[in-house]
Amino acid sequence: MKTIEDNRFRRGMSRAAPFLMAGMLLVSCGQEADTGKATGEDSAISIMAPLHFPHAPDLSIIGEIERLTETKLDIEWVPDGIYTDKMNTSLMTNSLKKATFVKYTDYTFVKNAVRSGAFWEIGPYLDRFPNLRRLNPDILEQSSLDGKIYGLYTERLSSRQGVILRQDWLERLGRKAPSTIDELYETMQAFTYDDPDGNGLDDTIGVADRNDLIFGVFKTIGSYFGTPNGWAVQGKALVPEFETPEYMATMNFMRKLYEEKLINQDFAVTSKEVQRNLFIRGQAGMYIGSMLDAQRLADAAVRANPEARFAIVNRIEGPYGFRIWSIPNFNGLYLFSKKAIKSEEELLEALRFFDRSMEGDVANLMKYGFEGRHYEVEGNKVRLPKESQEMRNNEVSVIYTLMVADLSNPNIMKVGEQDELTALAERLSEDNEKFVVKDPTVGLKSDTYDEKGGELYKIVSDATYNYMLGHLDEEGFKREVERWKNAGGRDIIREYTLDYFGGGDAG
Amino acid sequence: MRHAETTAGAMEHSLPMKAGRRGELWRRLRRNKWLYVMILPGLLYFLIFKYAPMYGLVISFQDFKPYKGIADSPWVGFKHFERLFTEPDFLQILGNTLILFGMNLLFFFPVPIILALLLNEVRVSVFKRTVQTLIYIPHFMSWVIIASISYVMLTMDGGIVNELIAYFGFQKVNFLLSPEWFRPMYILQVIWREAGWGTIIYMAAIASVDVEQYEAARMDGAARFRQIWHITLPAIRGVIVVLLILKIGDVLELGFEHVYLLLNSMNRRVAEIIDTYVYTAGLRQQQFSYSAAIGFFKSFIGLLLVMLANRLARKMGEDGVY
Repeated sequence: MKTIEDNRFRRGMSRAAPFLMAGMLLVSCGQEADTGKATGEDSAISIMAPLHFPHAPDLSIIGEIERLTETKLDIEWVPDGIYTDKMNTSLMTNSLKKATFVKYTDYTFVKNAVRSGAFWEIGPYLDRFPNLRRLNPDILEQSSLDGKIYGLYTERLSSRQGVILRQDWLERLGRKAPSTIDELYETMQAFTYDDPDGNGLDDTIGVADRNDLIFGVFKTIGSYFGTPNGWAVQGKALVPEFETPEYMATMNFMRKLYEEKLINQDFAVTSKEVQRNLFIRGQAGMYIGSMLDAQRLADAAVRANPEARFAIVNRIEGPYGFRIWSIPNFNGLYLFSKKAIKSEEELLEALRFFDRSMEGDVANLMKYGFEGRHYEVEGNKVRLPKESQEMRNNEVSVIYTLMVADLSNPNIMKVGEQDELTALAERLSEDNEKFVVKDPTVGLKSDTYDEKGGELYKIVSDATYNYMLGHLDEEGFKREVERWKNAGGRDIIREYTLDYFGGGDAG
Repeated sequence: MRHAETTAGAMEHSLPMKAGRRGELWRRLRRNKWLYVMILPGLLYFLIFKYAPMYGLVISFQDFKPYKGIADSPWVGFKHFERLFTEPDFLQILGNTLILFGMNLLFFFPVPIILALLLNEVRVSVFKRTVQTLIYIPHFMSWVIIASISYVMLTMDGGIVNELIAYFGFQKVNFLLSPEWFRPMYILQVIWREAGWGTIIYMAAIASVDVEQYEAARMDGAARFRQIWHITLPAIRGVIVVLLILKIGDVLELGFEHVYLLLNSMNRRVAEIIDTYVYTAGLRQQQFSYSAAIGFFKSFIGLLLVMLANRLARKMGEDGVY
């Protein structure tokens, strides 16, 4: 009995085994073939870029860009919310695209990798290209590392921060737009308690914030109070913003908003989407952040409530007059991975694409879309019709991230007339330039900051939130700042001070 | 399992004691060649995916830079371990990890067992199957979804839970931002997601209990509860112990995603665990070696605990896992 079974089993096995083996081989071959394909398309230029909109851009525009530049593109759009994580993952697994967008806020994390030679130094090649040659030397300098140029910058006005608020609510309450911190506070209070939407219910709040101390409400209000932008130069030393009394004043203001319920009570964990929704659905009357968001917020809000109208304010006067924090003139860089770009020729090929994308035909396409479909030309100016606004938002705006140095690019047509709110936001952003506060540490070097600045900043940002929510008092906050100093903050201060004053005398 | 027994049996049958050891081994290999071929994929799997990657642990003793590779990165000895043990937050993070693990063991581990026992007592099979299927579903949801659902339900700004609390005239509770609520929230979410899935093995174990035993017990006048206590539970005791040991082996695997999603500035004091610390302090700042050192330390604790638990199990007369 046993032998029969054994034999049968063996015979079965000897027949099956080759198939099993073959199966395994097939599986492994399949995997190889896949990876081979992924890395094999060397002619295409692969790009990783953040996606600020719900959808990836219209394929027809990408196709047209490919046709005009005679380049095959392989763009990975990563939702903005997870972009930093995703970029970090690619960086550490060494699987970067040929060109990778690095936000200026993430630049410090990437610096280590840049220094260790993960990216091409492109400075010496720029002169070979007609458009890249004309890049703004000042911004290149701001974005350089140890005096070398590694990236192509995406240009931005230095400050778009401002207050977007409900004009119809203001009018219903008989108020005018705020122009001082006190008025800002009073407006928030009225928006919360005076039934600004007139529905008889206590269902509104003054302002919507999110879990972001920089691009949320906090830093902008901080500027109104006169908080330095990151660091202050006081006498012979650099001082972090959170050691200044103005920072404390800002926290007290936020704490008051929280305690009086003028702000969404969960702001410390609110995502950008939820924040925007609070404003769009008419639960919150103010949105403090990038003024250029106004048009998109308004479009969405009007769909929910046709009566909604909006105002934008950029000048809020504080104890030091008008002030607003700024970012460097670039908001990010395209870096070129040495791992993905093997040879100088390939690098030149990638640079050629970006150079070509600055020519009039491609640049205007990227900025405005197709003529006739997304915009009209009147004289030598662009007209952006209201009817195609949504189409532009959905199909074209996404691509803006890919545009290198567009603000100073003479090949791009100027806009004649545009949306009210966008035009206003741009005018006010330019107005901001008159009183921007710069971060003195841009371009300064601190090894401690590069190594653990982010981890250390966590101590301060946690303490800031805890203070605003009333879990910490002033003593407690100062203790946390001490903790920051002891854990390495003191070294950062020393290194920045040394670098700022050129060594020696600041020791 | 069964193949291994067959092999062992076959070997014992054929032990001619004359040729040299090597020849004998060779013959044995040849005789059972197809069985060895069958083992091969499993063996390769462990070698390639489990053992080979361990080589990477050497970077915890180096200052590893990805672009230099393992070969060219400088050796620094125990530098990263020293940094870990002298980190001011180290004890807190370790404590948080162990507390969460303890709560996991205490509150989550028994739930699937109880659930399986309850299901086993259900006599209407349609109802039983429906319930089973329904409680499996949460297992297939990602933590992102679960965290988002919790957020929507618990938020102070119109979340249903707080609206209910307010409706009944109580003070709203800021679940998301208070450190006291983090652990209950974590455990409840784990139970909601995994309890149903966890019943599968217990259900299988219960199904294998000899029905005659129940009949005998009923003859002796044992009620339902006594049957569970004296027959079902002892019968699945072995399974419980094995799963417990395995669980303990995962002591520090509390689910990075899950905790990271719940973590915020306000609850970091209780919510920062080793995994999230590795991410924020190590990986985000590209401190690969430091991250590897922490991971190494974590695995080491896990190993110790498994050995301890296994010992205990053996002392208590169970088989253990090895």
